[in-house]
Amino acid sequence: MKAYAELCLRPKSIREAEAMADYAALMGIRYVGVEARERSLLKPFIDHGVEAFTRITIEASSAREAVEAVRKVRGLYDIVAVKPKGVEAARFAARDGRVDVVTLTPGMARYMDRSEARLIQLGGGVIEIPLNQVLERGARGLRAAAIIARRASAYDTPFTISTCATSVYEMWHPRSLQGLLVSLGVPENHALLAVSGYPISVLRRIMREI
Amino acid sequence: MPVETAPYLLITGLAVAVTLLLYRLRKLEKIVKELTEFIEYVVAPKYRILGQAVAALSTSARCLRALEKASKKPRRRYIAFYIVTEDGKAPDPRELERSIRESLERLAGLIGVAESNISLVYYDPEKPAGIIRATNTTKYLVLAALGLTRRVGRKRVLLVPVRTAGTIKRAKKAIQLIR
Repeated sequence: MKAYAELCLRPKSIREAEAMADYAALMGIRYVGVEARERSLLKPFIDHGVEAFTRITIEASSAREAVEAVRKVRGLYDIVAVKPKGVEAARFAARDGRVDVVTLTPGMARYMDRSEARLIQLGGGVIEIPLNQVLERGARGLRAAAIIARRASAYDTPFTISTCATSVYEMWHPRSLQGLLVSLGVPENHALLAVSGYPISVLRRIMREI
Repeated sequence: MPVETAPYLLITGLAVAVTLLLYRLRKLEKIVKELTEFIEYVVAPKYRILGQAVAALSTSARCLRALEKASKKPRRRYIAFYIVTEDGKAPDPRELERSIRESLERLAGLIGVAESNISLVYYDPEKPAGIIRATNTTKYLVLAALGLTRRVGRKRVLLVPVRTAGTIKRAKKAIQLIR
């Protein structure tokens, strides 16, 4: 069975985390990034044989703001994700080696250009498309997601799509995510990499650092 | 012949020979030029026509291939999936099919639904699991639609695809392996 990775899960309680861990293991998800304040929420995943990593998402509108925030959280969390609110923050997040994930919301699709792609390749991170925000915006969100995914694929940039599910019923099977990406115009092999190869490579880098 | 005139004669002879050679060279050049013009005039249009014929042939071959593809019966794909519900009870299969169809319509529109030709061909309420049939060209759309389907009737559900198979027999085998 192919190993999949989900970089963003947000369980609210232990019970929810247990249910999510159970289904994540069933779906073939081997690695997860858990965004939660309590570390105890990681335990159910580890019990189910899923490698869990702590994650934090930082919102930054300028490079200075991003630098300060990244400096504060580095070492406390395994995965550091930056959600840029401006072009300067987006460029900084892409280039900085301490940032593992650059979350591009549908409104930030225009920042996914050749320069951003090159900087991401230099920094060793991954571009993330948050599916919950994409679906909130409907057709416009899907259009933006298609732009980000297709450009990332064209520039050979690592990218992934995360559900940021808060319960089992918000989770997506990686094959469904791959299907969605293919429907949006991403080549099949790149879509598969987006749910397995690219996020796993970032997590392996984190594991080496740990 | 006096000895003093010999070099002059030799030079004159050489000059005559060079002149003759140059004359012949010019003549040859003229012939080559005429031949080239002739080739350009006669052969080049033929090549142009040949090129056009090749292009037309390849276009018609492409058209033929497209026609062949269109006339071919689309290959079927069977997507096995299991259902997770809040209360653990299996949803109504008709409602389930309608929900998947609606999700597909939301994602790909009416044409997408028509092209995929989906139908719930097998349903096991005990597991609960099912098999949905689609075409090979629209399997990814249907997989995405399964992900989009969050509610069946009033129940919150999660549809987890297990396997995409070419025959219903293999899809059923995949369902049997679900715990």
